[in-house]
Amino acid sequence: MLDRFASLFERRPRGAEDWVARLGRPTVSPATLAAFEAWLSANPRNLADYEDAKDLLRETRDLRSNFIGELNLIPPAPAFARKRRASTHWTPVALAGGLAAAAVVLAVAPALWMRFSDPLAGATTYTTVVGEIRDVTLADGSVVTLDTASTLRARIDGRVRRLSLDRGGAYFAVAHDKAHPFQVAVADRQVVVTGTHFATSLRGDSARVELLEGSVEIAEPRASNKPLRLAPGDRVSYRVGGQILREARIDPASAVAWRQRRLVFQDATLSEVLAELGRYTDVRIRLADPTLGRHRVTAMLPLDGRGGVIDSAAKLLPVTLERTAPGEVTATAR
Amino acid sequence: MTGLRAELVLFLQRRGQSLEDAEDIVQEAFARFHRAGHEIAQADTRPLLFAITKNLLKDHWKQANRERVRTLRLDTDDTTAAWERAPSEEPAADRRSIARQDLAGIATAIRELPPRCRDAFLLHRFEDLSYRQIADRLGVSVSMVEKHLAEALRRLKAVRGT
Repeated sequence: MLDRFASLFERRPRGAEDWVARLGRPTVSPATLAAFEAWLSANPRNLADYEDAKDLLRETRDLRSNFIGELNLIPPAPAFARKRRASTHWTPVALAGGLAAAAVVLAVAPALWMRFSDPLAGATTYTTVVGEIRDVTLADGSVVTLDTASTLRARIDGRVRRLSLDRGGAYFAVAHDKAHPFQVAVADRQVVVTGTHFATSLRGDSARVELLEGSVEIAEPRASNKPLRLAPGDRVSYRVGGQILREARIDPASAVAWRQRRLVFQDATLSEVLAELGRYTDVRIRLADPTLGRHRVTAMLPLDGRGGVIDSAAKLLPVTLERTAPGEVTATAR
Repeated sequence: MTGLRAELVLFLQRRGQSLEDAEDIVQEAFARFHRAGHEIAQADTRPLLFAITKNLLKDHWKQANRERVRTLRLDTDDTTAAWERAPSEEPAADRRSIARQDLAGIATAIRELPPRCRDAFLLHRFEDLSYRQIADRLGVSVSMVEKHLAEALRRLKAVRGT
């Protein structure tokens, strides 16, 4: 209401750009519309300029993915703005009612506030425990496979399908929908997709993105850096605040084998294999002799076998696993 | 919308057009309206349609005048007359769409906007926030948001122009 009152004293728009900006308001007074029509009629050039300005605005539509980083960097509203927002809701009703209304506004404001500041407010959270691998179908038809010990938040109802991988790993088969960008926050970056198959992981502060099909862009948190576009087979990793590093290209068959409930290793060191396995069990795997870790191994280990990964490892790896303490096994050369 | 259509027809009839001519002109006005990428039921719909209709009415008058002159001078070259009758604002169509490479230039220009101006533009264009929401987020008034947006458009236009 205050806005509408204040608008009476505002300068009348002069140029085409001013008019485009003015008419972008949700409510425009009849007087303003009449003035706009008079401006259009004053000179045929004005209509052309106005249409050009609107076109320019329209054509920036496709640029959204270039600015994800910048959008994330815009700070949330300062506290005083929140108070002002609440106060504009004042209406001069009876005092008792007014107080009650104020109480409601004060109670609601923080919730509203959260919606503005956190784009993932109200998101659905999906988690898996250690050793669990779970397929989830999202509201848009996209299928997510969550790896062991993972947390993913998803909000699919908005103009942008927003997700956040808070920890662990996830494989995404994204339902194609150009009008609703699919955007996954992983550490301090966003992976932006239109329709594709890719995997992300976040272990500690170390993030990784692997692309199997289609294309994705990784938007930088800083304004000056261009988003990085990945091609199928690309694998990159980064840490919060660090640079994005390109890694060896993936072998699509083995990269996300965990999705088929198995781990595939080709000429990997035994320590790598045990570290991978360790993510699927609460049992700590210790090496009796550190040099054993340098052994090269090629193996395919099922993740859903009876008795868990420790049993599979004992059967399929060239080591003997022995229980040495509660929650700990020790590997010795066989 | 049919209400607006009837209003435009009436407007033309009051200015001496026959019902048939008025309906033709209004038809053409709507066609141009859509061709320019405007949408129905927006704040600017009505003023734009009236402005377009008035422009068409002017063209219509000019053309009628020319026809009268032409029938007086029977020996006028037909091709010249046809050329003269071509609608004046036709070249607008190719100026309308921005080439791909220009988009990259615009992205750069958006990055180079003054910070507050850029933030307002980004929130408006890519987060679908209302002016009120943008104002709260940036801690400024609604009319400041409007000024930022106008300024952003002016600067981007300057980039496209060069």
